[in-house]
Amino acid sequence: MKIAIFENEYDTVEIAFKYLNKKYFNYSLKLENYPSSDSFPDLKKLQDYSLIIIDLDLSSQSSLDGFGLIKKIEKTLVEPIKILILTGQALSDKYDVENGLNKKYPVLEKPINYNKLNNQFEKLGIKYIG
Amino acid sequence: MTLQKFTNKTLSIFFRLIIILFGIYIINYKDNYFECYWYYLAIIPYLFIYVNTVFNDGFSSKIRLVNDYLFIVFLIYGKDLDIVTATFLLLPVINSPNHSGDKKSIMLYVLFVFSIFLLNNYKFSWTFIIVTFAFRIVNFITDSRNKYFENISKLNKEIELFLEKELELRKSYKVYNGILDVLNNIKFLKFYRPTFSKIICFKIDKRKIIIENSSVFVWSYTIDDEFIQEVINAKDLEALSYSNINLEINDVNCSKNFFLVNQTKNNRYIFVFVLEDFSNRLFNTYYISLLQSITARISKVIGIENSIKNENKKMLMDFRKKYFHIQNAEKAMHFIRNRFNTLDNFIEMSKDNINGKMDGDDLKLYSTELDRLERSYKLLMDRVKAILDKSDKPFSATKLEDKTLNFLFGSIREIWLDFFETFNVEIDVDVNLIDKFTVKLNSDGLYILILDWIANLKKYSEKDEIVVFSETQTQYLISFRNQFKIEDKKDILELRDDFNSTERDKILQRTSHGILIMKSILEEMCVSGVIEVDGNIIELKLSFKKEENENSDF
Repeated sequence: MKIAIFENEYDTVEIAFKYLNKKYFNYSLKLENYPSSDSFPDLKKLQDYSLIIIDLDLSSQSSLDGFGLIKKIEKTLVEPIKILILTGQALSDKYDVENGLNKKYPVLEKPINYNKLNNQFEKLGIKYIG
Repeated sequence: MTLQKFTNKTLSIFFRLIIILFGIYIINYKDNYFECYWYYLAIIPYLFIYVNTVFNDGFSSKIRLVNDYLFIVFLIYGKDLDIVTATFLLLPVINSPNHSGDKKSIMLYVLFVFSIFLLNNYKFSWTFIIVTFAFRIVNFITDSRNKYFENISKLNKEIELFLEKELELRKSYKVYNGILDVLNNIKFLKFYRPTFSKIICFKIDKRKIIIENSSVFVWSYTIDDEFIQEVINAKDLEALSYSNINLEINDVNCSKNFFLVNQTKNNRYIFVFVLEDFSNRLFNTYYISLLQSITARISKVIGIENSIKNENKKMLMDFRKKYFHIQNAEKAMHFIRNRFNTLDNFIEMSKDNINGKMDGDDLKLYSTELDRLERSYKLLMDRVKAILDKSDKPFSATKLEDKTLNFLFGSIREIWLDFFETFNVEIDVDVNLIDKFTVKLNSDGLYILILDWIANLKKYSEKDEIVVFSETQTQYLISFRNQFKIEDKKDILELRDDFNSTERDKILQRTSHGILIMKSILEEMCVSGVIEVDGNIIELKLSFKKEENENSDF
């Protein structure tokens, strides 16, 4: 399963993902890190991914922040896709309306560890099929 | 009825009283043509007509005039024209500047000449005309003088109205519309009534002329260079005015104009009055003299506006510095939070490790995370250290100014009344000597200090809140006293100990932020403070050292 992770300080979460991959997914996850929205130019290709994880504060080099990226994905992709939002501060109840998103997505508040990630993955129906 | 109208009517009634009294004198002084009682009877219709027309203007004023002359002529008919009777006849002419209504003036003199003609046995003489003419000229001068001051009064009234309603920042140009209206309604000379279309104010700033404000939006202007140089270099601005200077406003030629220059404490302002149809240098002097004091007043208003703007700018610059500091702190927090990902994950992995659930590969990952954690820890500590050690504090109360007790009193009262209905205060100082001394303080620091304390007073006090001002030979003492709830005694005593002790400051830095701010402000201002608790009364006592006031009259 391909997982795209849009996070610009990946070194702070890399081990969490790797340990998660080993412990719960038997290395079956293909984890790809994209530090900015621009590092994945053709968003249509995201259709092939099982999950897209987006950190709301992408680097200042990025032309879009987290919400901007989600909006663009919603516009670009034909089929709906699973998105998990990572954020450092609590979002308001109406964050989707306030930021022009089509719908609400699951949110995981930082700091994160591999178990918190796994809980979210389970909720999203992403399980190891051995 | 306005004051003006009331005054006019009173004068009018007074004048008729004079006519009647003078008339009675004439009846008794001269031989009468008619029977005596006819004259006294004549007073009745005279008064009747007057009373019925006195409160109306327009046509009624003509009726009053004719009424006066009929009565006067009746009274002196058949009597010789001597100094007494001539004076009686002239009364309306002499009184004419006090009359309301100005279309009467021709009629007045016509009636006068006609009356003399009647009384002179229907014989006409040129002396009548000469006398009339002389009076007409004198009245014209008096009239013009009155109109002149009336016009100044009207212009001043525009400024008053403006100050009452519109003293909003950046809106002083609104006063120009009112002034243009008054100017365009002045009927000074029948043949010289220029139309005023714009008023523009320029400021002289460092040898340049820049636009200050105007009655219309100005996006471009060019002024004659020679003129600019002359104004910049002029030493005496007392009677500086110019007419018809080369001027272009918004690419339109506006060279029919006159300029007035004013000096305020800090600036020089040039007021330009643009005329539409014609502009004569000589006749413009009437308007220029009217507007001299008016433009001086407007300069002062603009000056005040600019002071307020500058104060605002200073405040915003101050705020900006503080804002950036806060922003940096926020950024630091963001960075710190991200670093916690590593810590969080490491803790979680440790649980597996302790429970022996890690194999060789797991331990490799665990080891990598530990390295990363160590690095994060270092980065975190550096960042934390940077924030705590920053000497670029957002706030410092070290800049001290000299202020009198009046200022302290006013500041405390202002804040107090934001929280309480009435200012409960006891004053035990010699008010006659208040100006003799000043205290050194930082007004921003004082504000924060007092605000904090009074806000807490409002929240935690039970009753009897009071401020006491007292003094010693060397100090002003201000104390805030109130009764607290007995169940809070433990907290209050702790507060007292924290506040009064000098040895707990490092601990306070971690725990009680509010008290520490107060203490540090007091320290920076070199003001001593102590909290005393007696029964269930708490008192904060501040001591301000008295300094000799250099600016006092003592």
